[in-house]
Amino acid sequence: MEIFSGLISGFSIALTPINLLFGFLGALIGTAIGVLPGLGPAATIALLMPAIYVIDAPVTAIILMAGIFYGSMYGGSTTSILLNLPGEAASVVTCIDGYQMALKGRAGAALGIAAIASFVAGTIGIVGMTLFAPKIAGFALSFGPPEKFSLAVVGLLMAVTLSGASVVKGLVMMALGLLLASVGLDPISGKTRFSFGIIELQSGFDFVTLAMGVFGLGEIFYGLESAIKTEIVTTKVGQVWPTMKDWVASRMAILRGTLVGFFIGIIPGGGAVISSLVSYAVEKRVSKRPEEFGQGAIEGVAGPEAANNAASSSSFIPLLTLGIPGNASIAMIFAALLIKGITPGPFLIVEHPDVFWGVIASMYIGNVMLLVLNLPLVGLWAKLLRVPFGIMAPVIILFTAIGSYSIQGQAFDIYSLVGFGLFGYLLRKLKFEPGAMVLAFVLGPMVEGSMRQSLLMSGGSFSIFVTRPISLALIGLFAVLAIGQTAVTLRKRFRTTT
Amino acid sequence: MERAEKVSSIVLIAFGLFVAFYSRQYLKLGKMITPGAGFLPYWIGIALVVLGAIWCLNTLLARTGSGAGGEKSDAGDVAAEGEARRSRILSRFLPGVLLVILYAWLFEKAGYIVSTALFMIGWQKVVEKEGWLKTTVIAVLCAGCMYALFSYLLKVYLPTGTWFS
Repeated sequence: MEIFSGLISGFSIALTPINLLFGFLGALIGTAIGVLPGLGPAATIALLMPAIYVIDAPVTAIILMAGIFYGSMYGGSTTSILLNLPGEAASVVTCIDGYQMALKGRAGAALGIAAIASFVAGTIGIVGMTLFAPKIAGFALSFGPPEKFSLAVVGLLMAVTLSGASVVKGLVMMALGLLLASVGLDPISGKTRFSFGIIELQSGFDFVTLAMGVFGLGEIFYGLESAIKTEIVTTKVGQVWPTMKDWVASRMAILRGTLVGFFIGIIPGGGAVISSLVSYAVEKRVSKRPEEFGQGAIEGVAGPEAANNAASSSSFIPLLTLGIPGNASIAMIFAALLIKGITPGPFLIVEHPDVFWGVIASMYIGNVMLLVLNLPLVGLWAKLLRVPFGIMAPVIILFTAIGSYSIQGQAFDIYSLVGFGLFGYLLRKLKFEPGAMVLAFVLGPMVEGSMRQSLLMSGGSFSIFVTRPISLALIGLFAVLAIGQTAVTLRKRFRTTT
Repeated sequence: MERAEKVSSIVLIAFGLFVAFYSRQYLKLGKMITPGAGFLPYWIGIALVVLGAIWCLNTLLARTGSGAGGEKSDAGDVAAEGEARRSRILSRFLPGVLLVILYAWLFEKAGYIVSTALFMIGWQKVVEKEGWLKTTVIAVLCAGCMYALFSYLLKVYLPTGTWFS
């Protein structure tokens, strides 16, 4: 009953003209900027962060930020499908089959199913968040450092299985991501690591700069030397509404993705990235035609898109109830709340019920707005991408350069961006998949922090990770999956040789 | 490509060794109960060395496996493609990367307007090899639109240039 009355009061706040306007503007601008390559939700929110200074009411400011977040998630899917450029790590998986569908002239179906999956999953995610937030948050509260460590490492190792044919290269990516995350001030000892006297490196590398460099600039650099001048899909988007065959193929993928995304999104450090990767792995595993994955399977778009949007909804749970941002985008919203004088955490629902319920109610409205914006206007968003490479490439470079500069206002970030761009180019040339590296970079502080805390708890023994039930269950789950994967690989190899 | 993979794997091994050495020597490993700042980076360094070695070995084994049955019929095509790629690297990739580095260097010094205009002109002339009219139109439009978007719409601070202040 309390939930119901809270939600009613939330809708009375979210439905005021000013909040409706800012929710709509957030969704619109978020989608428009999220569509632009290299600019994912974190960069988009970061770019638009100055806007909250001119808005007085905290709830309006956070509704705007939440709208931008959702909008850019939608927009990121468009870029992934039409350009093969994931705006952020969560869209990496969408590229795999979405872009292949686009190359086969089914861009419309891919974009349509992505929008519908996002809407369905986002809405179910918000309903789940409304109903179960207190209970789920209670369960997540029981996660101590060993569980967090096991979860993060298992998530990373699962990402490696998606890094392409070579597990070794995937593990290299994971190790490099963790190493990049360790650059800067060590939070426990206060020592600076790998900064080599460079002051700007003391705070470590910025996630947005890294993602924009590796994915955005790296692709542009690679495009400069490849024979195909552009990888932008120039064919017509086509029929957006999926066919009956597409529906049948994707409906269960959407539901599975929603469940996977919702539960993974709750856990701090989980979020959209892991959920989309796990969803893809699940879909590939349960599919009767796993060989079609990577060639344009619609389930490969529907599942991960549902998962990352359900996770986007549920990733607000640890933020609003525990005060823990689960990913870079949510961290931006966390910062926005702090700027407006609100400390997210267990007391938020008591001290600022207007913000808590207002934001939740605005998400319901925002999801409808996004579906209305995306399905009919998908052709318009796609037109933003139908610009020749000769214009698009330098514009993307300018966007990423100014975007990275705007975060901290220092030219060093542009140099970092160029460095990461060249690194991304090399990775592409050597057939590495950078998704695992970016994921490891995001989860790096959590992996290290929880590992050190766990060792402190256990008196220096690694056995703590297998003596705690949840941690053991997570490791066991991965062991089963890894053994299964190895068995499949060995069987394939055996068949090839005989 | 094979050589690039081999060289890269050796570079990775050397890098891993450096990371492990630096972590142990300067960051310190600490004790098991209270790991130091260098604990995780040290093990990452060791992991990179091991993974680099496996990668190198895989590359060598792959060469041995494919060496005996190598076909010569496509050799001409491969050489032509290699030559074309080298030409694109020299005419497009290197100038493009240099322009981006130059842009990063000029951004705060010359300010947004000058650096962006120069970058766009340089890109259109050197990388895309466009005529002056098209170059000027694209440079002015892009620099102007980006300025309007970032400065007015998004309220992002754009540097005016330390050279002019």
